[in-house]
Amino acid sequence: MSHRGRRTGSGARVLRAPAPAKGTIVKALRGADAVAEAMRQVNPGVVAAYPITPQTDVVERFSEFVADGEVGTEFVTVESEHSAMSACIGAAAAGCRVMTATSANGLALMWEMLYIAASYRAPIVMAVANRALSGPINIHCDHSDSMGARDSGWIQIYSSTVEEVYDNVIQAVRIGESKDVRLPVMVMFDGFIISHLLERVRVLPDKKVQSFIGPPRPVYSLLDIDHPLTYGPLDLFDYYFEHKRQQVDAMEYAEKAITDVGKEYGQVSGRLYGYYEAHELDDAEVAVVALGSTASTIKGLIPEIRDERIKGGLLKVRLFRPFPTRDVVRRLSATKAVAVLDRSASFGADGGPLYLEVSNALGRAGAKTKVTNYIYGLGGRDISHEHIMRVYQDLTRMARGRLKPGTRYLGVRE
Amino acid sequence: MARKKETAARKTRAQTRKGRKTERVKRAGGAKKVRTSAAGVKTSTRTRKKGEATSAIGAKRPAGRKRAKGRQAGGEKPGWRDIPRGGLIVKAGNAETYETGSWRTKAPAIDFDRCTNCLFCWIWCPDGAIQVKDGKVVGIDLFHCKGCGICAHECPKEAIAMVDERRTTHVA
Amino acid sequence: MANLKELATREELLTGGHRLCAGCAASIIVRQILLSSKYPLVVSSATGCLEVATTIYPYTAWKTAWIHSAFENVAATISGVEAAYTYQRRTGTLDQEFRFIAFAGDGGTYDIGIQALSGALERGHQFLYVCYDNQAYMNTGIQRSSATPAGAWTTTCPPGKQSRGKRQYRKNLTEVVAAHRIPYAAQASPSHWKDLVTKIEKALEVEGPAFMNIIAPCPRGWRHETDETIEIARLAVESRFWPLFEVEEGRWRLNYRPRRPIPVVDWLRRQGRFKHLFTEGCESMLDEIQARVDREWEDLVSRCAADKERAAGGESRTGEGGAEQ
Repeated sequence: MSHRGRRTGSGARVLRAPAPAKGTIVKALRGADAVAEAMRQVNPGVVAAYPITPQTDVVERFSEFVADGEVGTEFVTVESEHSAMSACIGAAAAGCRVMTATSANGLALMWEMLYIAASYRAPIVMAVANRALSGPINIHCDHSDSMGARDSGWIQIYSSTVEEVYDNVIQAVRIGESKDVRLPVMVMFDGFIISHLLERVRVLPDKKVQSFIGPPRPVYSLLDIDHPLTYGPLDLFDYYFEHKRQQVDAMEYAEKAITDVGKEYGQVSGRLYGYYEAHELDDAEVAVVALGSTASTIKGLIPEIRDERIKGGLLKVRLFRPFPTRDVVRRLSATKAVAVLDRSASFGADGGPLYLEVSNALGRAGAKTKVTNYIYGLGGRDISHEHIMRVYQDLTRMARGRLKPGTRYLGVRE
Repeated sequence: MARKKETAARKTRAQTRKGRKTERVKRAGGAKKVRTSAAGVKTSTRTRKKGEATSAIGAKRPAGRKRAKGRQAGGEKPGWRDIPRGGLIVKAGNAETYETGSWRTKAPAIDFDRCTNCLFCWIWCPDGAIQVKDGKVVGIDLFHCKGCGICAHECPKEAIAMVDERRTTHVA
Repeated sequence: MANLKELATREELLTGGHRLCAGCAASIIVRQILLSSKYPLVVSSATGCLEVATTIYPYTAWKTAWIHSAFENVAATISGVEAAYTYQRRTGTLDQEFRFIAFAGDGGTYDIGIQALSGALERGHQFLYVCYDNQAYMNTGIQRSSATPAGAWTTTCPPGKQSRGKRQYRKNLTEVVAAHRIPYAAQASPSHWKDLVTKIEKALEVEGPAFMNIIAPCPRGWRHETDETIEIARLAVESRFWPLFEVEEGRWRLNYRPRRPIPVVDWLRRQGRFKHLFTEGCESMLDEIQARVDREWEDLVSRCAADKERAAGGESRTGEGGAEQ
């Protein structure tokens, strides 16, 4: 997010980043360490977490902070992810700022509670180290875990570098706790690819983080002795629908909150965040849409693509929920062909989840852009330089009507 | 025992009477109209007044939000903007306004001459319907009493009898 | 401990207007427990009869703070609340002292909730877990659980040409919980309210987790009249099917010894769910049930006696507590 060239833009639509905060320290951190570091600086009231590869390093680092008294957090070392999320819900309902982290099967074990957390409007922040949801069991990266949770009512932010994970975790606290939003937030980072990748991170001073997030502002608390609350009643057909409608409304408020918080974070850190990041899109004839670490990889290849005389651009989607439908239309409808890269399959559907969103957005807007889908990287399969070049080459053929759009698979053996 | 079986059978019949628009419940205080929704959720005229639905929930609208037009008129249920978010109920104990007395087929009647105020009926009442004042049993809350009969069954002095509603005398 | 006159002066924290069935033991138990507490409470319920019937939106029968999130996790949910409380007390943002009580039925405790319960007990949160044990999944319409006694009818273990009801004996969950070596675990019955209230008062004073397993007759599921709830609970105790005991800091203590124990058939006979056992050819099954009750009782008594003897060797302790009503 830091490098803003003439041809780049973001949902925040601010072209020049302010100067970085005083006291910023550059550290070499792995993704998991960066999450733990952000959690240390947030210093939440309660963390309830359970270890799972590749998230384990997050809880290990955080445990060290607890052991050294570097955080004041009540750390609940639960016996399962289901209990982790249950305890997070209880703690949030009791007025605390709450955080946790998980991966794949752990996220799946929380499934029931994910919906409940969102329904109770509990602004829990959870880092998700993306990992394939088995089986057969696999510990490496794909997005099948968090994509499955896309309708659970959580805000979902994808990170494509270690520094972004750090920044996103801090912003997630503010986004989730925003007035009229009050929703839980998942911050995704690719398992191993980012969680175990050592990168340069400009860590903000603790005080800056604290003043940015401010004290927790619970609207309700179970510990408010003067106003005993009933949380989670039996909600039947006469009111349930209204409560779901409220959640839809909250997501609409989240759109503004995400933009505002991204801008404000930019003022504090010098790193601006919006809904998406656009690279070389202004004059692009063809474009790729991607999430997570792959978007970073593609970003690095764009000069090469341009050298090949392909007018190629990249739309890196940061938010999956709420999905930046309007931005997708605005930035892509002038292109001739778009390839959407999905790191998860939606078996039996017309394509991967990201593809379905993008193609729906462009289709509903009446754009003439051809949209095609590539499924890649399942279970941690590498996506190579050649794969990406092939996608851009396919797109130029598609733009000229020489290749039909459809769902294709990158890197699978036939 | 035969009496009890009959009671149970009547109760089952009463419980299956769903979907009726109105039914009349005879009680000491005279006849009372009870509206029954299709769901079988009873809204008695005594518990629910016009516009009271909001106060029972404790609805609060977020600042700056407009209430949809025509909502809540004539006791209609509030819209999504007008109820607390997250499914919260902010009025503790508001079930008190919900009548369960209409479930009853027989009501307890206390013979105060026999009552020794041991309070066993009170500690074993599932609905907290035995009214106690200054350590003495003073009556039965027939708005909530479901007529289970535990009080009568357990009374060591046989001071409570389960009787037909119309002959019940009680202090409300 | 507080007597009835004193308890009757306290505020009812579970109001009337809840929609549990007429004659339900769960609400009697909850009333007795809430009346026993001198502290402000946060209550958490697992999904089940108590939860659905007391909080049908937009109504709540709870005057205490209350949270339900799911079926299998009440111990985890209350862990989170308690952790938030501990944090706020430690950081000085909360002055008020609270107590935390989790309620779940036998399904939410013996079966689907046992993992979360075990985890919370091991972690040592400050809370009281109450299982109202009505010996089947009553909320979904009387299905067998691991708390259902052998021989009982339920909709998933109906007697038939090849079946005499539930084949397996019930799990002794109080023993399982006691094995966690928590400060306090006990078994109680609403019929013996004095014993129950005393136990709750104790349970709310210990440092760390406490557990209470309370028998909760269910007129619908056990097939008895609505006015017999307390009597059926009492007979369970008198027949020694449901002994009243407590395990305090690892020491087992019998709280009530029936003077003239009744045969277990006198308890079974009163419930329609066992009626098929009183047909020809089931005599041996009744004998087996009695033998099982006798053996479990003897195990318990000898365990309590051993602990009493051991205690007498050290500090002097009071004997068996009277729990007569």
